[in-house]
Amino acid sequence: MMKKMIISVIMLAMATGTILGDTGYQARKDAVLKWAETQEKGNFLIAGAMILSGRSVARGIEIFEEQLKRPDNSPRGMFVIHELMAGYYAAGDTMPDSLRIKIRDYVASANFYRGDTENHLTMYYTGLYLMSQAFPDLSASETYTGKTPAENMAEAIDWLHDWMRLTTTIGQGEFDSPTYMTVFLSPMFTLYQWAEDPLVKKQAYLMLHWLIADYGAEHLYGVYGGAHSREYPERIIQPRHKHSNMTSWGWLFFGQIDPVMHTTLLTAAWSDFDIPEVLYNIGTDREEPYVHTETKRVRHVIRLGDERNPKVYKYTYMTKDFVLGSMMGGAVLQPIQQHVWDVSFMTESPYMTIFTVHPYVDEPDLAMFFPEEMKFTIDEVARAHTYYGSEDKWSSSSPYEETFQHENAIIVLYNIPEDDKFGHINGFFPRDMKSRDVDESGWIFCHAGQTYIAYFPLKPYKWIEEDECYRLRSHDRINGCVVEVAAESDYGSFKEFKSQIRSNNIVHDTFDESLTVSYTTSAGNVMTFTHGGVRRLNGDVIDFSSYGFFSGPFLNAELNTGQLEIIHKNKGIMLDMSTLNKADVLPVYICNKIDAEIKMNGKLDDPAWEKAEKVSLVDAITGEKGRYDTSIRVLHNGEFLYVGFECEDEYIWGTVTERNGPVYDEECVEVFLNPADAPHQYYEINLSPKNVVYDACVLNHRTLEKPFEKFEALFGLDLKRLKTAVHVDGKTDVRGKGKRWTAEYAIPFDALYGASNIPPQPGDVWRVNFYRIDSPQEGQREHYAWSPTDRAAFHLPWRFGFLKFSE
Amino acid sequence: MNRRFSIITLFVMIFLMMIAELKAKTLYVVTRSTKTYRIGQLENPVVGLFSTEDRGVTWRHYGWPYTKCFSASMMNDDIYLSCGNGVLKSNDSGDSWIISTGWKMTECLKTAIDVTDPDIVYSATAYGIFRTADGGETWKEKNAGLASTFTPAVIIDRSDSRRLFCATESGIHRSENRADTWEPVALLGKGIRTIVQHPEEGDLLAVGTEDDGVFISTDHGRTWIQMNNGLTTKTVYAVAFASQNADVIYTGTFRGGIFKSSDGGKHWKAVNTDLKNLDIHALLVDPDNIDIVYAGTLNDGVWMSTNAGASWKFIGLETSQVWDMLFH
Repeated sequence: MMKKMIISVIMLAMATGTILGDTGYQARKDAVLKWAETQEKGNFLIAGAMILSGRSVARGIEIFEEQLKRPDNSPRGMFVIHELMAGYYAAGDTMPDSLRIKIRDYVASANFYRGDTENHLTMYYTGLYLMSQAFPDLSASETYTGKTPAENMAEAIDWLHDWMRLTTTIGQGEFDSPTYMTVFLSPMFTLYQWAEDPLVKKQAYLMLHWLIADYGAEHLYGVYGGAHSREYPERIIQPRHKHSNMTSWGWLFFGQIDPVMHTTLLTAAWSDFDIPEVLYNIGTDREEPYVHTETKRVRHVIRLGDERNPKVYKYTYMTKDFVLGSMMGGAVLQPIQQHVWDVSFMTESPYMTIFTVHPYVDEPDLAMFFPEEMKFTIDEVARAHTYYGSEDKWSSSSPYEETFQHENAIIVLYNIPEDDKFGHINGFFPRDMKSRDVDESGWIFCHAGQTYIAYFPLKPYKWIEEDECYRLRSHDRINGCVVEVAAESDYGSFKEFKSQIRSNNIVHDTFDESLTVSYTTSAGNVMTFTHGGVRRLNGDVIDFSSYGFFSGPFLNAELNTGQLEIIHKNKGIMLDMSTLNKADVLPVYICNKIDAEIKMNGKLDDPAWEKAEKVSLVDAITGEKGRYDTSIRVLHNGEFLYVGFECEDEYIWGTVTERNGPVYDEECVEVFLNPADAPHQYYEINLSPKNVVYDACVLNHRTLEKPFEKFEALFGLDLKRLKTAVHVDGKTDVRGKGKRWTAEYAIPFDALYGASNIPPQPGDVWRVNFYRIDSPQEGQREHYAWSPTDRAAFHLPWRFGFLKFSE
Repeated sequence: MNRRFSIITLFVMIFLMMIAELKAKTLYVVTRSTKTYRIGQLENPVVGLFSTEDRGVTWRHYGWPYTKCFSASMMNDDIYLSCGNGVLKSNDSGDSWIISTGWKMTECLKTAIDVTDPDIVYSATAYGIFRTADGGETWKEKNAGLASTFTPAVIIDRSDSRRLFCATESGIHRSENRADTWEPVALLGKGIRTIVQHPEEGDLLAVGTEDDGVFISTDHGRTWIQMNNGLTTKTVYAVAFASQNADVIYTGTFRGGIFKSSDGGKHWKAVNTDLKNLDIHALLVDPDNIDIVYAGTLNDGVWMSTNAGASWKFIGLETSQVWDMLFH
């Protein structure tokens, strides 16, 4: 009974981000499955998809058989165990028993190498978890680990929890990687879809939200914008590369571009996960430019460093035409494949980016992350990544490269010691831009797609013509550039852009001595940056701590909280991973402030209501859309909290006429307010279609673990200055003659106790819920909720959502 | 009859001794990878633990075909293999294996088995020292006092099993209480790659360092003296004592090949004749024949000298990265 209840709680939590509009996601998932059916060759994922579809079962079985014959002496073990188990589960009951037995024997004895990076271990332990779940009867002596399935599962979930905890408190080590994000996403899809433990399923569900949100905020038409921890050179110069996995995921999640198929998409395609509206919106809404900052971390430093996971500060400026992004640099944050800054712009050409890099090669910096002998490691890394030792490489983690970005402008400085192997920088300028004009002023003006880019080299340089680009090579060890980017629509013409940029002031006369450059942007901001020193904006020193874990219009989180707020246009969700066993996703509503009082007549026709986002209530038990449309809006003016309800209804009725009468036994709307974030006490204010109020202070001992404890409603508060109004469209008390009823509350802040601030200050958060009870028939009651509760009960305070007072 | 029996008995005993002798000379080699390895490649060479009983004519592979192995320790039928997946254990001389560790132990580099209680084993890892007291059933982190938790090697003092030495990224550390606590002994700030104790002369220890050559202690690890005279390459990944003569020491370097000292480290001389790879990660002197020396290279397998280092010949595991060697 309890297990069933927990499952339903979880499924309900998963429904919080219900899709309200068609994003095309399902159609794209279907396209991936269809594509898989047509493949002649494939891996376990393709094989699973073929059997799942029922149309290519024989071929799917053949692929399984072929793949199982492959030798297992591969360092790809972690890929194989994940793909095999994902394909196995996807194939489902259609898989013949003979093949099932072969798979069982294979996974038991295959000696899967688990690897040495976070993405490796995420795949490995997801695979091991599902292997243990699928074949629980194996004995310890039958498994390649020598452990029972229960022991393997416990180890797997322990690692996965550790990774989830790290990711949601200080970030991923392999952060924001256009190549490697896929091998975090796909195991989470696999775990979400196939884990039988509802808690694990839910945790994977939340991690999917987390990862997609992390990507979505920097996504632009299939491009993972901004700086990256790990990316391959050929993909750095082609941000929308055909083999760039996150371009594939970008298409799947957000559409917008032509399909870019990839086998790992199958883990999502056969999953019942639907992308929540808020995630879709933050990945696609580029109506207004915005700044998005993040604090990430370095992967585990195992030696030659004082900190295990030093922080990484990222800054990204997103527009509908381009992304300018950077990380502050100044240290080797990631070995080998770091990408510190670029501007990526939307063009038809795949070479849609400009950036510079110092090619850096060093033994100790590799040894920080790898256990092998440090001098040998260079050879070993260069064997796998042949570009590593090259002076021409496009991905590099140079400690001598530092950036300072403000919105659409960036200063990039280099101070390369005399004894460093390579004393030059390389700049990538794609060949096929509309223009690349070297101006007498020293600026290089570029025009690509709908974007203007101005690049000011701080030192002499030469152009090297290459297949994909004009390489800017500059041999001064003290070096750098100033870059400003703009959309075509910001200027009347390219000429006008050039004219503005030429007039912007760059001070770099003493750069060689002071390592300082100052630039006044077209917007009039003065950026002053000293390599190895401070970054000043209009005289103020930039404080990285202001970056938060995530900060921007869409994502906000503080480090070490485990909570991520995802907002689009005043509504969204809160991912709460602060306690993994209570991981939850809850709705968030941004309460805007108005200057005047609302004229209340119950009709919600005061123009001020237009400043409030309308949010639908859903069935409190299922999380699905209810029989009748029901929505709320919330505002405040510093004196009153205004709540408006709109309730579609064909039978609007009520018999209670006395204040504090049992309106909850008939039809009513309800506001539950917890200004103190004290889960055991909150206000309940109910209102009937007859404008009868019931208000109470509730003392409640219920918790997630004890959901049936008693609670006490101290009713008859008669909140002073509480105002309500109701309007009924249609007739009351006549079945079938009603249309809808609307209600307005004005709840005086000074009548409420427990809040940190009265009136609430910008950023204050209250836990709240909004409900409706509808009784279409006598004795029949339907329950609606903003944050669904899983059962026909409203007094479940852990399910309250977040009301955040706007800035 | 009795005399005949005695002769037969004598022959049998000699035969058994020969077998025992042969068994004692089994050379075990741990390879981390090979230079032909490619991630994603359909077929890769088998790597890991190998043995040869005939000086490289034939080789036997044990256990996993790939798990990024770094070293092995053996006692009786127990084998502990330090690997990327953790510490693999076999209790039947390599016929079957388990992963004795969980996820917290990763990038395990070296183990040491307590001869006085073989259930006590230490694992030196990229995240510090771990100890098991139950033969690998459970492991506990033992890093108290370590200046650096990157520990490529750990050894147990032959004269007192409570005392351990470990190599770290910041100097040599010693424990007097089975790793419960550590204290720095010498070379703080220097990357120590390997530490060895002479098989017979317990007071004699040596370390190889990343950039500072060889340091030798003749007073049981209390003081350490840099001894690089003639050592033209200072990156030392391997040091091997000859059990028969404490003055004979070999060092394996990166890019410089093998150096030999015949005077306890006072003077070194390169001994690389016919050696085709000068990246050495493992060295062994045959305990029964001081003229026979084995060298493990990074990417070119195992080499052997039968003339005390005067010349070398390739004996097997082509293209392998030999990380460790031992006799058992």
